[in-house]
Amino acid sequence: LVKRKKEVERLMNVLKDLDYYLVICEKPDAARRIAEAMGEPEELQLDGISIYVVKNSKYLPKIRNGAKDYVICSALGHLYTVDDPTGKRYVYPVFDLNWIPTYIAEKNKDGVKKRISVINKLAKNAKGFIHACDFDLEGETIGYNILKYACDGKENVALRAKFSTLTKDELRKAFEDAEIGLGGNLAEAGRARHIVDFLYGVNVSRALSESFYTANSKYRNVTIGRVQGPALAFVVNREIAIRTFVPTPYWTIIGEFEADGLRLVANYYKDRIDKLRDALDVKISCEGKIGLISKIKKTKVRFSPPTPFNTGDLQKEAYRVFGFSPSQTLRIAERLYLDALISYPRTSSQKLPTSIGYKRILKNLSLIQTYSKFCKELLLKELKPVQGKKDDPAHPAIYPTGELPKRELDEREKKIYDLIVRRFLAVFGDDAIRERVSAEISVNEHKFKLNGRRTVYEGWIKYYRPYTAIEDAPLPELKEGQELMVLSIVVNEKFEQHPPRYNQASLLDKMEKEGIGTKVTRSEIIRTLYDRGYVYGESMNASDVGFAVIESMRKFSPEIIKTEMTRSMERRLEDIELGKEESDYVIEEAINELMPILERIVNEEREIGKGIREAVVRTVRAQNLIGPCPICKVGVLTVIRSKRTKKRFVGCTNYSKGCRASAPLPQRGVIKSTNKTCEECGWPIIYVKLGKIPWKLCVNPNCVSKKKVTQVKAETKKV
Amino acid sequence: LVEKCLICGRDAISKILKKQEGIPEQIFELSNKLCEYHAMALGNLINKFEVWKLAYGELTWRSYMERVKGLEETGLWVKEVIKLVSLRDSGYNANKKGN
Repeated sequence: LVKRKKEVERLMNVLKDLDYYLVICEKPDAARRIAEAMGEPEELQLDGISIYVVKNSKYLPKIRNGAKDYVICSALGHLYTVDDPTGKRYVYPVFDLNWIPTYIAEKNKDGVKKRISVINKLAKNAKGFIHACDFDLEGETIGYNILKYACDGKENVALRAKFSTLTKDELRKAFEDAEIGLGGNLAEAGRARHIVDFLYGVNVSRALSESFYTANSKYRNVTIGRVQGPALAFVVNREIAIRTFVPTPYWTIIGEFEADGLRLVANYYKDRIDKLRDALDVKISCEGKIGLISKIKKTKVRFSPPTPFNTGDLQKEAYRVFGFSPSQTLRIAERLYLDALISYPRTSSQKLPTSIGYKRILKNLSLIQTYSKFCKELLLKELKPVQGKKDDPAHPAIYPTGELPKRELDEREKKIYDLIVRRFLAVFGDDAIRERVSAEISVNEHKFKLNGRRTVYEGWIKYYRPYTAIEDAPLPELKEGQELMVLSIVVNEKFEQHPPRYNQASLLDKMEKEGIGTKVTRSEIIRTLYDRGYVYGESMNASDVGFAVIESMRKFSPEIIKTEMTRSMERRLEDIELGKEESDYVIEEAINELMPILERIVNEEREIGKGIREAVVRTVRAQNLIGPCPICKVGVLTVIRSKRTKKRFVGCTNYSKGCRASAPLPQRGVIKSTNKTCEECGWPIIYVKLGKIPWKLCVNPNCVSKKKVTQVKAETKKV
Repeated sequence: LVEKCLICGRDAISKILKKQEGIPEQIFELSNKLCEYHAMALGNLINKFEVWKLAYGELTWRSYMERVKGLEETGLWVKEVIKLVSLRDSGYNANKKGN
């Protein structure tokens, strides 16, 4: 308390002599960067929160109000959130919502309470206010709410600083050009989006959880949202297509030829043959014959450079080349942005305007050894980047700022940074030119094709080299009329593949194409699907619970999982941003849409809850199965909990038919199947996780491997 | 009482499948005892039989099922349907022999 009193006194002493703008930033790192750009900051602490004071700044807004200093503070994400005033989590429907501090709505948010109180203190003596949060829907909403609630209604008088990078030059310009109303309707749209998402997500999720409770007298958090519903439906529908798939057979034919001691492998001109008889006819007709090169065709193809990265493109590319999940990529990019190494990573734009200063960036990047040669090469030519179709009024595509890293980046940051820099270089590159050579070999009346390709001119490929999948496969010198001996004709039986499961990148792509979610929320929604246990695995597999939720929704509230309703709501929310719609009207529409959905869920509560419970039971049962029984070879070994002793052990599902296979288990920790059996005894091997590092264990207590370990231990002890 | 799927215990649906030459009668009766997913799998299995017959020239329903069951690409629910069909088939034949 004494320390705090001293901190407050010191802060008040500093503030009383200042004429300051209170600057609201979104994150502490951004606050520090802004402070450093505005002058020589003095860092003060109050309740563990950093506040930066910059006296007599040279970079003041052109709109003057007498203030000459800056006091810069930051939020930490959203300090205010939408919640229902009842505060009771089982009550639904709730349509009258309030914006309240997050520390009231959520647990463990004491830091937010302190932050709001600090901002409130700072706001009292401020001469002006500057909203300097990220320039997008979320950033605008964060700043707007702080100005409205923590600064006593300053949301309409605050200046807005608009920037896309945290470099000193851009920040200074943004503060000099700061104006009232630069945010347009972003805040209104952002706040409406929060309310609509709450109305759908919380009401329907509460209805589902309540259904579960009604049917089972137990509570389980079952959630579904406006975007989460259709996204889960994509995964479930794909899973249905895979599980009901019957492959169709077809055949391919490969011919092996020889010419002047050179062996060549060519494909039959038809990629697939649907009848076995036809494939065998080709084999009989061609084997042992002489082939002739009847045609050689060379074509040159130009490949344009890739377009600059927007959020989705970066996430998909990082998944393709590094296997990073979309949310992980965004987190890393966010850190690089806060270090002023790249521009704002939440953007839809695939365009790089000249105003970002191509030359300056390339000159700075040339100081980094890896890119030095490429940058110098590009600086010699006219700089005209390839531009994509998508645009974003708030931010350009993602680009490196040219600032040099001031700290050692970790491995993942290095990877994402390198990907962004190389993509930036590639967009200025020339078209790549590739030569395609196709030779046609005639044997009797049948034709085979040989295809070769090589790069004639690398162009942009050399800048983007580690991340391009373009490879050379040149053909040897061949002449038309050249004879080739048929060495063999091989007929391969093939089967059509089922459609691929979604992975995080392809689901993100699907959501983008279907127009559901935003560039920021899509990756969060995917993560929620995993967190709720609706999907699992790298290639996304729908769980039984995921299936049950979609089945219930399909039966009783199909609208919630269809893309049409979500897409039309997205459009209406975008219209608020563009000033074409009123937020109140859109929210009212959302309530009208929601009412019949909720009514149907209430009427069918018992059945919905039962369906979900059955799926949960199926899932738990499946999780308990650890592998085939090595004793009866019919049943499956499963984890069972004794009703009498409450201890868990392994037993066989074939117990009722006489199999007595059983084994003790560790009583603590999480047990999972490895899908592997012990090489020594044939019993399943399990993972046991207790603490940080999991270990593998053969469940057979009499396994030879365990005896060996015991022996070795005993001998070591003797020694 | 709602009938349950013979394979997974979900609610069974009533689905009419078009009869096809070479497929035993009792297979079509199954469609009313399966849930929507297993019925869909059975439907796909029946529909693809004609395609397979054309592809191989000659094929019995039994060997078709054996081949499909052994393929990695075949869907899980299709395999479950084949298992059920085979079980019922062997039961049916045993009954016939007994009689």
